[in-house]
Amino acid sequence: MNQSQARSDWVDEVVDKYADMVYRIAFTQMKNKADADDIFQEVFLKLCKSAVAFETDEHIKAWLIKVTVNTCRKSFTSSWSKKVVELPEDLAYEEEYPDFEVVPAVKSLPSKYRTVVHLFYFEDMQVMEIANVLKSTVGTVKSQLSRARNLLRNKLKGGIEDA
Amino acid sequence: MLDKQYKKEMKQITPSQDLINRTKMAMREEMQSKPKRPLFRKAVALATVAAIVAFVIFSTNLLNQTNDIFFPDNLFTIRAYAMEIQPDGTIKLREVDISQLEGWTGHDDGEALFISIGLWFDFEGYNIKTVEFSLAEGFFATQYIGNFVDASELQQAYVGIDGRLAMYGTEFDKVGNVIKFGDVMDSDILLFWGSYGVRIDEWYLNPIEISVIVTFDDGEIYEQPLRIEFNVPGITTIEEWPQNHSEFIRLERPTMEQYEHFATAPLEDFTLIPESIKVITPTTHFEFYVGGHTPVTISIPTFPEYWDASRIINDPYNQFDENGISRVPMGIRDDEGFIVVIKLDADGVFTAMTYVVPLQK
Repeated sequence: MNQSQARSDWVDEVVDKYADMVYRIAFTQMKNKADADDIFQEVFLKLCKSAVAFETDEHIKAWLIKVTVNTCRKSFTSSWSKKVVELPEDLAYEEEYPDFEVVPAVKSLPSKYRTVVHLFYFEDMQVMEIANVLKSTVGTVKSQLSRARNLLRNKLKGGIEDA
Repeated sequence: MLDKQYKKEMKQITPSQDLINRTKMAMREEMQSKPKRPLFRKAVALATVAAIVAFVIFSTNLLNQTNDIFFPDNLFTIRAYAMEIQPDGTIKLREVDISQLEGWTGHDDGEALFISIGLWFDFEGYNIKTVEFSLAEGFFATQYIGNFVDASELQQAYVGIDGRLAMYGTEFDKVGNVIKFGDVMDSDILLFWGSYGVRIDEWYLNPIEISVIVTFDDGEIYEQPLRIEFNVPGITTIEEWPQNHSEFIRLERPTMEQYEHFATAPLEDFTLIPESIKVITPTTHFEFYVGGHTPVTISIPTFPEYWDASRIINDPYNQFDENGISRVPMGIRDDEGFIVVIKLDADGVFTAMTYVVPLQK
């Protein structure tokens, strides 16, 4: 197998394996699917440009989560200084998924809460793992989860099951 | 269970096949262009030719040059940015001098005092492995400015030379007396200094000392002290005022035109609230007074050298005019504006008072 083919196979492998994860994290952070699309592409391009030597699948997964969250945050920062006009054909996800109940409630949380809620409840990550990936502390993640649950409890009957 | 419902719904969110295909194509293109390092090849070729022509004279210089280009020395720089509210309500970051605060803000939630270091920090350099900020006293608290996309949700105050420095929310993540970053700083983290059990009226604007320890890839350790001095007035919001002033009034932000009016119109045109007049000493804080409620206090520096009237008047960064008067626009409620005026007399006595400003129709 030549080098070019090996690279191509690696691209297929890594995107196929982590596409859903990256996209869903971006989706929880961004306002619409078009923005999530942009983040998705940016994150995988950053992976190509990265000089990081990944040792394990867990390493690459953690890197992708961290970079996705940071890329979303940077996108928030830069959006302050520009007016973004949403294209009419950019269908709001609420219209595409009218039956969604919990996702809209999670998306209405402050962004830091959305991140930990998603990683905890969807990616099934432990508090310690989330703290490591987000370069935060266990106490902060626990506190964010707790506040997020309280907010969700007010938005939804029953809330999200405590850990 | 709603967590199962969340998973069920979220599993329906997937990237389109078109997006996946476009991304893969872009990645392949990126990887094909990556290995080229023409600059390096040119440098090596140049070095080879030069070595043949005059090996003894030039070889050392060329080697150093190549090293400078491809293997830069360890370098660390810290930068600070002030958050400014723009006339259209957006927030913009402006680079500022860390050693010269233009204004500061704080929040007293009844259990802890959070003092805004006023700034968004960022660092850059070469070969950085980790950067650690540590405090000898107090703790760090953080906020993510990414949460403040909608500036209307901010707890806002208007401090600084042009009264446009942004305030922040009132929820903090307490992270202890050490906060550590990798080779890049989280893109939008706001650092606050916190202290438990201290009310704003007990805090005397002591400088905050932060130690920044940088570890480079080669193991070299570099330490940079940061000293944040609060030598300009600041504003603190209070969640639970300890003296039965519990009602918080949200004041709206003045427009730039109104701000200009607050800052320049003759004081005689405004209405003084007589009961608000108070002499401020280094150990007192001025309660901003609006109809019996107390949303904020104004604090002024306590350093002995700062209490030298002539120094303040001559300090280009001070907010006092040639008559020793400083105006701090506080905001608008209904059809009235409020400003706090601090007067400094020749003996170095500060007197603060609140004025009501009729709004121009």
